[in-house]
Amino acid sequence: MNAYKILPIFVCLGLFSSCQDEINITLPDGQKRLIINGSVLDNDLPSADLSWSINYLAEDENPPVLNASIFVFEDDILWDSLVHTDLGHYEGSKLGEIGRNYSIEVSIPESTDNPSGVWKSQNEKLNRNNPMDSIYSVYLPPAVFQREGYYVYVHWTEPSGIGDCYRFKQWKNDTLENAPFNLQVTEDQFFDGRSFDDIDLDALNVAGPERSRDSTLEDQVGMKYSYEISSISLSHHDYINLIQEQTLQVGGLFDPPAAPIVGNIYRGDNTEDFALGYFYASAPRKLDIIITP
Amino acid sequence: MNSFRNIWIILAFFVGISLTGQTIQISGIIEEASSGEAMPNVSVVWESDAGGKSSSTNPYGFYSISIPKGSGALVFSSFGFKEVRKQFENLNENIELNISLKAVSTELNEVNVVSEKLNSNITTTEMSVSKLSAKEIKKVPQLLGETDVIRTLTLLPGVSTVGEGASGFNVRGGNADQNLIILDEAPVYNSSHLFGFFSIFNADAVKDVKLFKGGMPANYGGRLSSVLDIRQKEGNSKKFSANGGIGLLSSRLTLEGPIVKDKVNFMLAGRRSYFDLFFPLFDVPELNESVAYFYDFNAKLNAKISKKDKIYLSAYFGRDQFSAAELFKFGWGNWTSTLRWNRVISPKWFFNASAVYSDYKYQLGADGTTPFEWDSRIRNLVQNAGWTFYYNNAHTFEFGIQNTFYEFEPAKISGPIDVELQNEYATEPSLYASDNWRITDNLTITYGLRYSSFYNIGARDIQTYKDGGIYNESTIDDTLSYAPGEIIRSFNDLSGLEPRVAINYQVSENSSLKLSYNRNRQYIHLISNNTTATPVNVWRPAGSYIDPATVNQIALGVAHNFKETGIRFSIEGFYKTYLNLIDYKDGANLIFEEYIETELLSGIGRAYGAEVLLEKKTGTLTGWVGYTLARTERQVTGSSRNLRVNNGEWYPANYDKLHDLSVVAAWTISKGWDVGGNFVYQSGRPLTYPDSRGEFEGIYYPVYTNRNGGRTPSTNRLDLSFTYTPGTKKMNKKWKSSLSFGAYNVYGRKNPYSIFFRGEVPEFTNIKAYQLSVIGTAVPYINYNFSF
Repeated sequence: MNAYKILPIFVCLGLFSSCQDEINITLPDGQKRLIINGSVLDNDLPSADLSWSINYLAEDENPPVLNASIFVFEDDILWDSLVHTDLGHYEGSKLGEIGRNYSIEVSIPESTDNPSGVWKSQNEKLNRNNPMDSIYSVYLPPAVFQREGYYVYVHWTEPSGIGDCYRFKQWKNDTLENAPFNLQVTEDQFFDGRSFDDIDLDALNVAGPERSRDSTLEDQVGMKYSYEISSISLSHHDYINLIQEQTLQVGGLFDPPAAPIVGNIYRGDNTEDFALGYFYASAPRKLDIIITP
Repeated sequence: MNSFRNIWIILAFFVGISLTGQTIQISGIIEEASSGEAMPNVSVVWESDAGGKSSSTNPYGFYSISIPKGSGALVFSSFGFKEVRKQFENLNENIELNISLKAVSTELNEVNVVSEKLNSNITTTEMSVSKLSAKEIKKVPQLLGETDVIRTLTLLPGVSTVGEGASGFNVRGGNADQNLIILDEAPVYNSSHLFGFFSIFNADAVKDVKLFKGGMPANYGGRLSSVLDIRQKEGNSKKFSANGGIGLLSSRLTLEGPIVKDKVNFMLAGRRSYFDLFFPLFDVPELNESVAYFYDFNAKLNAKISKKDKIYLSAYFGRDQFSAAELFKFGWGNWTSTLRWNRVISPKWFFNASAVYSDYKYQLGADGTTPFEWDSRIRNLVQNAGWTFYYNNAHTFEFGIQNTFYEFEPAKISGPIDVELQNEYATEPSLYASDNWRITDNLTITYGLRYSSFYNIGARDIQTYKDGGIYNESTIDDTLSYAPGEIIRSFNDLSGLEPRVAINYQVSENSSLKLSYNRNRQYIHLISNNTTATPVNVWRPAGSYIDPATVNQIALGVAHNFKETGIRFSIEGFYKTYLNLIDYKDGANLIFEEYIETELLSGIGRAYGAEVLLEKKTGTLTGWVGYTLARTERQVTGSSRNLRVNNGEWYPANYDKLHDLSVVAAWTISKGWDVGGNFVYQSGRPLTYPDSRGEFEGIYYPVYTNRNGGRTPSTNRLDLSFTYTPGTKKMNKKWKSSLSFGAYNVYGRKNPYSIFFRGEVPEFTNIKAYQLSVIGTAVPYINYNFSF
């Protein structure tokens, strides 16, 4: 995709001589909130990462929570407990099951520095998913809006029945591409039950050559690409969409308005007092490929 | 049927009282001498020993004045035109008198001729109204030298924009969708080219512009905040003429002339941008297969089909088009057409009827391996019939009936899959009547009543919800199907009454006090939660879950003219309250949303402030100083966190700016040189700053809890233009030309449009604050204009 060549020109046309300058600004220290990012998967152990919110412009990482008690419930019955294994990281011991509902409960003891109490998530259903059919690479020559290189594609058939949601992740040489613009989620309303097999629909485009002008065709050879499709809930889909929308603001004329990103975890039963982060259940399916000439 | 019965009762009333008149009527049409264009707002004054009478022309150039039998003089005058005086002796019967007014030449020693009518603003009940002629608009320096109607309006008090390049404009605290923009009576739904940098109105094709910020006459309705009434030129009925210009961004050409002299004439105007023609210079292959341009086309045909009848056919067609080979394509545009019939029924009666078609649509798409098209549009059919009855010099009655039929096509996608949102249909009938009553020589009141109703009609499926007032996925109860034409919801109760009152008390020859009140109702809404509207935002009507919005506005003002210097001064204070304003849930998804009610909130609003205008319309130095001190706020209360904004507290609207100062000047230095300048200062606009930082699987994200709790720094800008017009001494020379050059944002100030936050690539973890300046440098321009 050589779109990078033309997009700046279009942006210039649209914005004439617009410019962005780094400025110094002091932001308020808002209410300290607990951050809980947890998951139950059907092919890996349940886990959660806990930390505290800090000033938006802070250079430090969010401080981890080391003293939490964490329980996971399956269909509202206690199912697993998570233990602290690393700085703010907690792990359980069981695999989730498709069709079941899961929730998390986090207790923080009283202290002078941080909020305390019991935070509970709403139930998340572990939704179905199909395995991917194949992953393959194709060499494409240079063309208009297309850089020369190897392009990676996936064939996959979406389960029939509307209402499914998915998240897509990709790794390059086992490193997750995890910038906000890498967050990709979708609903199935436009391709319910259909196959991305180059016959029914185009295959899913996973990766292509680097955008950098310095990268060469040889650089791609031997590179390992991994691709994962995870089933998620509609609520989680909306949450990830909102994170992407809010983190990729450029202050432009058509930016969406700033909005609070609220997940599915609340202190006690008070939906007005929310934690940050999200607890989800998912059935991820993953394939790898190494580029060969 | 009751509506028709009421009309006949009103008609019978007016016919009845017309028979009681005992005076002589002089009536006719006033035209501009060189072009034959009908002239609105021309002052018509009867002077006699028995006392004076006054009247003025309506938008179609018609006037009618009642005078007592006897002798006197009738004086016709308008800014920029030589006064015409007609002497009459022993008048005893009605007279039809058509007048041609000659423009004052640009010779410097003649400008004082027009200063006599300086006081027209003192005698009228009109307040909160701004009028601009094409000539005035062309004097104002603008970005890239593109004469721009909308941008010029934003230099007036009470009118602002979110920022440079923002689409639309905001009037006295109203959203951009609360402005009724009509071009030859046809509603225009997107007034922007190039995403908002330029307006779609080609100044060469525009005759005049009138903006009502308040105190709207009863014949206007359908929007809360303002009416922008733009009239296209009718075309020169005397001789063929042409004018045009070549600029850095676009070129334009206007042709006009008679087809049958003094009977049938035309006007054609076209404009096209051409920055895409320079793409090859970038030496990027992708650009050779790309498109980026806009164009617009105006046309008008007039025919005097009898001594009393005139027919107009006018049209506008404009489009913006962008595409990058097969990667994407994006375009939008308006099409309007108006068929209008004017009839002078009698010396006391004037009739205007029109049929209007308006169509706004946009398209997105791609032609690549997965081609698709996304279409959206809104269409209108409008019918108007209006009568003006000049009962006597104390009373001028206007009444009429209008209907607007709407068809909304929110989205239709075709490609690998075909899917579309349901169309919506609605009709908005309305009636109005008003009287301009000159109670005494010093006291005049214009009072009127408009009644509007609205019917949202099928065919359409509507979701019903279990939990009253809470619309989301979990409260969906059932789906109801409505047949074509079946009423889904009607708004036809007393809430549709819209009283309008404007009072003028003339304190002295040069001073007046004014008071106005208006209530307006708006039944359609632009669904947009962006800072500024985009071409892809869709309009949706009031219906099962969306109520019409209402505003009440009261304004009080003082106008004073300094006769010696030709300076007009006015100060107005206003207070507005809004009901049922649409707002949006946090993180609302408005794209391809069938059941839009699940994303909306409803709130109230208020706006208040003061506007000062000091203007000079005559002499070698003309222009104005406008200052606005205002606040505009919103409040959304709800039963839970996601149904309210800022915990139910008042918060500033996106375009709330406390101070707004504009200085606009045009100076004729010598017979060949003109200089124009604008200086603008505005307070910063509200912004939402993050309170803290959250994190999701290694991605940092902002936590917002206080909408519009912060503010950008203030902005200021200076624009300058220089125009050289050679050979102005030879006024009869056929080819005339001028060269303009100048700069926008002369001192290259980086005015903040917004402040945003971004992490450093690739991890996006080291977050920094950035200021975006849309136009961060001086933008020079040069234009060549000509006419023959």
